[in-house]
Amino acid sequence: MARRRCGLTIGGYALLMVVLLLLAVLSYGGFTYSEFQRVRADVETASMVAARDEIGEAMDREMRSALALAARYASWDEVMQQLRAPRYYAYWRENRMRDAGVLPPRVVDAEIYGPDGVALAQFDHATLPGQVAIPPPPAYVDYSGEVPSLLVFRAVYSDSVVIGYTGLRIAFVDELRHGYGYRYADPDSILFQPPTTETLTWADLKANVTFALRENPMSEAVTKLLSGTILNLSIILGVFTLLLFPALVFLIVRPLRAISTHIDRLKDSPGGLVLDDLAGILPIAETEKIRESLNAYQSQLVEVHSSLEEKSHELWSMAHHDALTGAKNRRAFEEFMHNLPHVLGDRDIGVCFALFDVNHFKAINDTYGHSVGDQVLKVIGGRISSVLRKGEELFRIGGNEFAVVLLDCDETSALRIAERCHEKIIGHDFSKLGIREPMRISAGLAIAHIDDLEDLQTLQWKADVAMYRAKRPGHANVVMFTEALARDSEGLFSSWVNTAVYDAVVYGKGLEMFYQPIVDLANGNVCHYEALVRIRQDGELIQPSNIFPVIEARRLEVELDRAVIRKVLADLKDGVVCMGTGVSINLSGPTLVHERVCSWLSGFEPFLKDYRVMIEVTETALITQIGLANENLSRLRARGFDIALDDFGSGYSSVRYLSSMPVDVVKFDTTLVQSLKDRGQANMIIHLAQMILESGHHLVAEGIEDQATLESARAAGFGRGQGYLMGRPAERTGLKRISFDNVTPFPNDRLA
Amino acid sequence: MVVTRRFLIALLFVSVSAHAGSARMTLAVAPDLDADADYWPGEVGRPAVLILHGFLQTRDFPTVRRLAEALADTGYSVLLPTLTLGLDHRHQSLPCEALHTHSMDRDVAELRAWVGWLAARSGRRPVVIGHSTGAIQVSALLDGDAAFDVERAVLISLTFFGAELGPDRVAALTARARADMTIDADAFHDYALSYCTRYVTSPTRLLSYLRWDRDELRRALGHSRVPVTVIYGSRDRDVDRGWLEQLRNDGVTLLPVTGANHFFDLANEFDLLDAVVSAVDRGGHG
Repeated sequence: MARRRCGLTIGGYALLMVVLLLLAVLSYGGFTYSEFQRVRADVETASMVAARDEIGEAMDREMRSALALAARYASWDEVMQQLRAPRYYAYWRENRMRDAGVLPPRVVDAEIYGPDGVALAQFDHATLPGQVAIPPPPAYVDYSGEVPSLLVFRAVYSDSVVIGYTGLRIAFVDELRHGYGYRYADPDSILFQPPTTETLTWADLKANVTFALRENPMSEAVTKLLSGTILNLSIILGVFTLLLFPALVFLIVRPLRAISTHIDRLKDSPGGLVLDDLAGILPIAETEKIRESLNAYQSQLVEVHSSLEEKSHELWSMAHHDALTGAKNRRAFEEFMHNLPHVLGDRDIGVCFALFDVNHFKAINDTYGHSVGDQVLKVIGGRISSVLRKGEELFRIGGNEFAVVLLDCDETSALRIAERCHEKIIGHDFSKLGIREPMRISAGLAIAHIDDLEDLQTLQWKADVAMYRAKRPGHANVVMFTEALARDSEGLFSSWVNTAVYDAVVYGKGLEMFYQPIVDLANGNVCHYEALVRIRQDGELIQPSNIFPVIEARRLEVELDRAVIRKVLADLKDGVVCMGTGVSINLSGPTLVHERVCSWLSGFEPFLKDYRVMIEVTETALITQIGLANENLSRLRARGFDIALDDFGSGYSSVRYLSSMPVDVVKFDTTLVQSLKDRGQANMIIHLAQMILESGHHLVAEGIEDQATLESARAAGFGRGQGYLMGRPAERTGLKRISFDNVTPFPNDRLA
Repeated sequence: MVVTRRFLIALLFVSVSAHAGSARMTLAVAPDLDADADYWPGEVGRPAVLILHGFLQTRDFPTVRRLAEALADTGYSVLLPTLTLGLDHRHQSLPCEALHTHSMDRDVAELRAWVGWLAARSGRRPVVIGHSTGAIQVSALLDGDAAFDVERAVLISLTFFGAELGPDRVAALTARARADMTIDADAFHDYALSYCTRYVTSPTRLLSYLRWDRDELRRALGHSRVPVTVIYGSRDRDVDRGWLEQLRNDGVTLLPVTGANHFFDLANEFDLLDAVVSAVDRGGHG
């Protein structure tokens, strides 16, 4: 059985997919944001370098501007004027210098020095030194104030002669911040870290600059746009993903669950269920196709189911009826018997089981063909049915066996019905079918009361017993079961007898051969002995009347015959049978037609020079497959075996068969031999015997049990006889004794 | 004069001017105070001309610069000086608000020095031309001994100090300067002079200019020993026509230029040249 695989539901997979999708969206969003931050940091680093470069360039320009300013100031005519006439310097410095427009506002102070480096005048509020070194120092940054300022000194020339110096203090920070355009640096953030000394060169000042990057509107806009885009995208994808789950559930999971539930419902009530609309206003093509296909399949299944029911009914009918006769068959019979107690319920009524068997049906079949046989069965079935009451059914439970269960029926009624059936059959004109022989049936009846369940279960067995008795020669064709019959048929139906027969046939266990002499009626000498089978089980001897029903019922004829052959051969080897006599063996029909029968009997061939070995066959056995049987018998006969037709007169006693059979000896059945004593029948038997004798056969009279019969047989022309009068069947030790006194060796020539 | 004597006139050097055919001349007009001028040597036998710029201007002022170049091209020897106004090698116009340490006397002294230099250089008495307040200073030059060294005077757009202020303000200003002078003659004050509404100078120096009002000029020109020609534009609002007529009566020749303004710019440039040449040649012929 395939192991059932347990997996997630589609809803679980949908949820898992949504969770994975959300994780992917968040991961990708986070990754994109981190990448964006990294690029932004790179841009910021590059911007810092660019900002530092542009500030450095601005400082260079500022320095050049300061130097130009100093040059301009130094070349100002009025500066010359002050150097020529410093008398008015104080007035000029305070009132004119700044108003002349020569010095821009960022020049917070200016000074004029004489050729000795001393300022033309000393002022308390002067921010420039009162004296400078000669020559003055290059421009430097002064940190003495709150903000650094640039001090620039320059010589004043007249006719290439230094006539003095000028000094400017320039507040360059504001100019640096606002006098130049910056793309990267935020000008308001430009600061200079105070050094450890009050002065600093311009070059060193560059290293002290600090600044912040200008807020780049484009970059900020891009940042904002990208951040917003990532956020919005994440939100949109997240919402979409979250919406995806109910959408998946609505569009796929729900229809599939509906389909799954529908299929589960179909298990309980297949067919007829229609799967309605799955997705409502949003149908999915695939699920709709599944739904339509499922409904179509259901529709077809219903049709098939209906057809199957019809077929099943038909099949049931076929399975429960015999196609040939129209009667119910074995299966129906068994079901009927099984259900019988339930059908009858508590009713205390008698149930009669009647079993009908067509006598010698196989011979009819083989003689006239199966078509005729079938017609016979149909006629017999119809005849029996015509006798039955309403509600009573006929069952054909075997090849030529019919059964009827008669309800609410006593022994008298049952016997009457069975006899009417028999009468109906024998009254039918079977010659229309080309059958010349009279058709007979054997009927076995058994009655039980429905309240006795055990009795009911043995009803068929009882009818079987009765029917076997009815089939026995010399018994009525309709037999009611009695306990006495049961005892007589113990062998057939006793389990220990069955076991003993089986062990004897298969393993040779308990199998013993009894020998009955066939004597020459003229001189009383033993011609040969008929080997008769017995089985000894636990010291008790089982008679043939109990052995052969079992053998026939179990189809063990061939096995029994082979066991008998082996046993007789052993007895011959042991010298049980006196030389000069012979032994006859009964072989069944199946053995006779077996392809290997000659090889099985080949073991007797070495004994043929000293013993007469006779194969006894019955006409019933012969007519089964008479062609093949005659062939085998002819072959055996050619090898030296004698062939005897046994029990002639008990069956059909067909002269046509006899004339076509390779038979040396004809053994008249006991019933015929006994009939010799009946003057009415004796004449015909005598003539029959004479006719057979004249056709070249030897005659053996069976069943000679008294002197009168012996004489009659002699008078009728029988040369040999067999019966209790001459000797009962004896076991091998007894055989010696019997044969010893009466032995008269057969002539070496054939009986003919 | 004391001032004149103080001048040490010396030719320091001559350098080639940026102007075609001219040379830059430097004259030490005082200790540590050099004055510069452009000089175009002329043809032999042609007049030598000195042209003086206006108030606080330099020789680069367009009116005098164009006139000098035109006369030089004509073959005249032309000297175009810049008054130092107290500034060594002054080459820029002096703002009204600057400290004005110069005076009328020193200006005339420098002019006289240049006239002497030109006379010495050309070997003949030069014709002295002044424009605007330069014409006042030429007039003041004629009032002294130097007049003997001058061939003729041509005064272009002649005016007088105080003309822009009017008599009342000039009187008040003069009174204030005199009052300031009593306190400290060399102290600087904010005054007004010519077109300068704020003129920073000492009262002494201010009064040296204010002295040359209409009357003083008429007197000086009326007594001039050399011919004086006054050229003026008909559209010049800074000249007093009535006063000019008075000068004409005093013997000054008037040459009006129709349509010209105070500066004879652009279209009247050639009219001015014609008038100047006419005035110069007239004197030459006379």
